[in-house]
Amino acid sequence: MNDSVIEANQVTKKYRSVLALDGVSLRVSPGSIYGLIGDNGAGKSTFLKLLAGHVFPTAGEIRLFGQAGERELRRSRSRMGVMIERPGFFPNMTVEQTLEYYRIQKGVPGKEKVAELLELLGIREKRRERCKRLSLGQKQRLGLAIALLGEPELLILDEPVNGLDPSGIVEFRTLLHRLNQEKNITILLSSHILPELEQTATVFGFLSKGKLLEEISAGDLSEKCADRLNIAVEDTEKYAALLEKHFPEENWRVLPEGTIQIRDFRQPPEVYSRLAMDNGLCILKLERSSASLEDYYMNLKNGGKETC
Amino acid sequence: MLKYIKSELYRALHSKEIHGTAIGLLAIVLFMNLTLGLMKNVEHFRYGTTSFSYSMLVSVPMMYCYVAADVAAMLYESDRRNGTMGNSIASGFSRVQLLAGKCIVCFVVSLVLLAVTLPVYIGSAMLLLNASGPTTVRDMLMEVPAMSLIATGFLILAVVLLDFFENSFFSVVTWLAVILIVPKLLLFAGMLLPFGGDALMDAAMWMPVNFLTAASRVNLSECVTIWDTGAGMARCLLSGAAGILVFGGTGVLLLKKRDI
Repeated sequence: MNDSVIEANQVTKKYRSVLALDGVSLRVSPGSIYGLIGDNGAGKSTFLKLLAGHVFPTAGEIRLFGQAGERELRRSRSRMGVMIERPGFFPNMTVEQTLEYYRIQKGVPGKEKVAELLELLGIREKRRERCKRLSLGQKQRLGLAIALLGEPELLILDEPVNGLDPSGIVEFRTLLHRLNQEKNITILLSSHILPELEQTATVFGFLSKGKLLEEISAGDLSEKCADRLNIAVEDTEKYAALLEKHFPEENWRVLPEGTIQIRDFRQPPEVYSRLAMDNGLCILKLERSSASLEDYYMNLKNGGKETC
Repeated sequence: MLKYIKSELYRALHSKEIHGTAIGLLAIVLFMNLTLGLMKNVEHFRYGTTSFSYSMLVSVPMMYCYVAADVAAMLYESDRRNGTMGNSIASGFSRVQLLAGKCIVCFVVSLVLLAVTLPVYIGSAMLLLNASGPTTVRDMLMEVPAMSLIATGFLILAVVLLDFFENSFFSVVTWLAVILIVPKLLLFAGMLLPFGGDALMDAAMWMPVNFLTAASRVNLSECVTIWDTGAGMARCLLSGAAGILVFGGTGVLLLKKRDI
């Protein structure tokens, strides 16, 4: 019995001489929201295309809902909703016709499903509009509506918030959470907007140059990116020496702009400010922060692995 | 695959391009017959007859292939570019199922266009023109079964090429090369080669553009078509069936494992 919705084992994909994916192995558990992170050309879209059947792997095995093999994968794909790179539609058909077309294709009974999705995605008033006249954000919504036809158990979305305005992004995030929690839909999505992904995903996978660098749960990530204290003083060198002398066990570093950053600080923040003031140093800034997914990714990409 | 065919038929039914083609074809035949009808009483004007009107199609049987390929291009020219093919694959359809589905849909749509256009063509000719001359309704109606398999074969080739090439221009050029240029080149090579030329010519004479041209004489004084004889009709059907098998098989081999 296999309990992964997606399972990739040593998947490699070559486009002629270009190695797009190099032995990627990952698992997506049921009910999770998996965020795939990577630069352009890291292999995110290729991986998603492999899952959708758009391209074939050069080596390795893919399992969807525990099923492997070409015919079984095709059958499993009918349980997925997909939007990769851009929503697929016919420019001259209206929004409603497009959804009706896909409803028939996916064998979804009842025309009311189309109306329901138009309402859910907030494009009801655009239903008679030709697809080519939609804004980028509206096209993304239509793409998601297409993906949601057929009550998918797994949603695969590539850069889904591209073109959405800020309120659209918030609505989209809320919708994904609702789908995940209320309908128990497993979601695999890639995005360049890491702060957005940080608020959405429960598991993160970092791809770089076709290799999976790391998989980490949101819980583990927040543990790894623990609190830090940024202190800017008049004389950075003097304060650094004071820190070394009074708190030799602290993990600190001087940031490029001259701020001292203490990670996982052991004392209350006021202890560090008092140290400066007692030694005649004026504090210019003292702020508490935690590392973001972006920091973690950049650190990981640059070779670091342990903390942000 | 039935679901895919149903969805594609729904799309064809709502396609502006298909509606436009149907209206365009109807307009062309009506305009032609109307013009010939208006001119039929002009002195020395010999073309105001049903025979002349029918001969416009009977003398160019390859027209069936061009219209069928045009239907394929209208429906599937941008299938990959629009991302719609990707959606269908992600829904669980195989590439072979999509290929077969597209061919069936194009065939049905072409048939509908024919069913709409032909009665208007014949009806308007009968109503507006003098019923005389060598080319008759029978010649025109017999052209339909004679060309059905050939047109279907070339339609399949068009669908395969539209799927295979990312650029539609290459699809069109290759399609024209396969149906027009290659057969002519083979024929000329057969004529010129000192050895083995006969075999090459025999093979070339099984290619529609060659045998349709060689065996037909359609003009104001006579109408000789290849489908007049049983052997000629059989050649049309066999050549068409071979085209369906060859182009269909090639399509399966080329597209079965193709990345999109």
